[in-house]
Amino acid sequence: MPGPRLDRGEFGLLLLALLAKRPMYGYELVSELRSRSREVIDLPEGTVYPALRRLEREGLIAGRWVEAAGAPRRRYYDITAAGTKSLDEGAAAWQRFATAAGGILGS
Amino acid sequence: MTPEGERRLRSFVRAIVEGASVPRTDADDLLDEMLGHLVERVEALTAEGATEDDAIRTATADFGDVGAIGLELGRTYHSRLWASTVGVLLTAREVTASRPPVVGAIRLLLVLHAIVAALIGASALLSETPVRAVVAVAASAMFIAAAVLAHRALGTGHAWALTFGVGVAAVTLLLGVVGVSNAPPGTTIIPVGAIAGAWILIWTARSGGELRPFVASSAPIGVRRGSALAAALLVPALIGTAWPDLPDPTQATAADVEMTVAMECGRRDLDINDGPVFRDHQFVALSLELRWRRVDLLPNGIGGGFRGDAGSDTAGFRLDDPQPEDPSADVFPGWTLYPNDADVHIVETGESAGWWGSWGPSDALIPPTMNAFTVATNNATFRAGQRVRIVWTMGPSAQETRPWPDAQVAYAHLDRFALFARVRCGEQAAGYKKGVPVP
Repeated sequence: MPGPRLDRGEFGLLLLALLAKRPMYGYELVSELRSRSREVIDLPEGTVYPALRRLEREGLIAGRWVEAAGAPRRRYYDITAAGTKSLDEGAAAWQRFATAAGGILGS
Repeated sequence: MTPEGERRLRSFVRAIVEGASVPRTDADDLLDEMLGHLVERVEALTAEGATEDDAIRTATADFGDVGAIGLELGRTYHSRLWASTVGVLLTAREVTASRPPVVGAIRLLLVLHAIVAALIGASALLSETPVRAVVAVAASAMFIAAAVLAHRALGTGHAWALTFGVGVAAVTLLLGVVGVSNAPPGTTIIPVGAIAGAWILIWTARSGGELRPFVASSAPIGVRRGSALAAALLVPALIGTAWPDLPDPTQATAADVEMTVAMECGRRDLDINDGPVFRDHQFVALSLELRWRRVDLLPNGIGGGFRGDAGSDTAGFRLDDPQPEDPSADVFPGWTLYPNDADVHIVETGESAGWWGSWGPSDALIPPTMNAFTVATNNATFRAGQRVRIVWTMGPSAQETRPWPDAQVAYAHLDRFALFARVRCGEQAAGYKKGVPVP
């Protein structure tokens, strides 16, 4: 049986959670996701960009370019108020689901 | 990072952005953002000791499949319908093999056909009847959309686009051959399209070795999308051949017109315009009345509607004279118009509805033996439920009394159908469509 897979909504929720801690850019988000999940979540790196664009178009995050000395400019993302609200709701729903699933799988 | 390394990375991310049809306002930013990611990753890998070539290969592999990321980006910017159709047909591809020259020729063929389809669609929209115009425009639009997509997809080595382009060349060749074989005897046709189609088919067959790596590993598009593309190619071609028989329910048929012909014979005063009056003269008044249950909607298309041109019908007749003049002698006809004009008007309003002397395609439907004193109608005056009356009044050409003739009358509506009737003095007869006589 295949292992659990992240759908678009869940992936977006994880990105919101990371951005709630501090503004980050794409490469940094991928590294954070990998290290914080102890490499359990190891998606193709490029998939972060469609997800970021979708969150930005939904107004949950806001991007801004930052020039970097001797390196390509980076696009940092900040979570918005709407993003924070969405994160709170999504995280609560996810916790309820995880608790329920844990209750079944644990028994 | 070397310029060559950056070029490779830029080509990789450009394939994603272009494949996803990212709007121009976002495309450059997205390209820079993803390129920055890859550059940072390559630099990290080279710092760990990897060669630049290996680092680029690892970085792009870890970044993910070009097509999958492009499709996901497409879903972000476009509708679900777009993602499941155009998004799949234009799935991002990074082509490493060089583009064979024949691909340029096929893409040019697609562009030319799209232009021709646009011209045909525009012309049909202006000149064809409503349903036929809609059918022609829909078929043209379908083909243009498919050709434009194929043109774009072929640039990035999609196998379906190559198949579509070859299909266009094959259909072009086939239609050219059919056109030449159906040409009237003595007509010289140079089938330029067929020659181009044949040339491209031969060139494609000879370029197989170059084409295979160019389209290798391009993703399948599925049976439904493939069927839709086949329909976009074949439907316009089939409609073109079936066009003359394509019905349009917005147009009146022979069943929508009630034709009545009457012939009154007797004696009365007759005069010629600005000429003498003949007292108590023998006369024949041939009356053709048409009652349209419904009339054509834009019979000459939107263009005709703007010009106020609803076309013109033709009415003509032949008098069967029991004592004809000697046909070998150069003599005046036995009967002539008094006055030398026909009366054409709408019965209910009295409005003039035509004139003497016919023209247009309806004239060609009147048999040459029945084209005496033909009348042309102005169909813009026709209204559903109203009657159009045409009256020819005739008297003998000479002063002597002549035996009463029979009359055959023909009425042709545009280039669509003709009705006929035969009548004698004091009789009334209904019109019938040629080949289907009224019992």
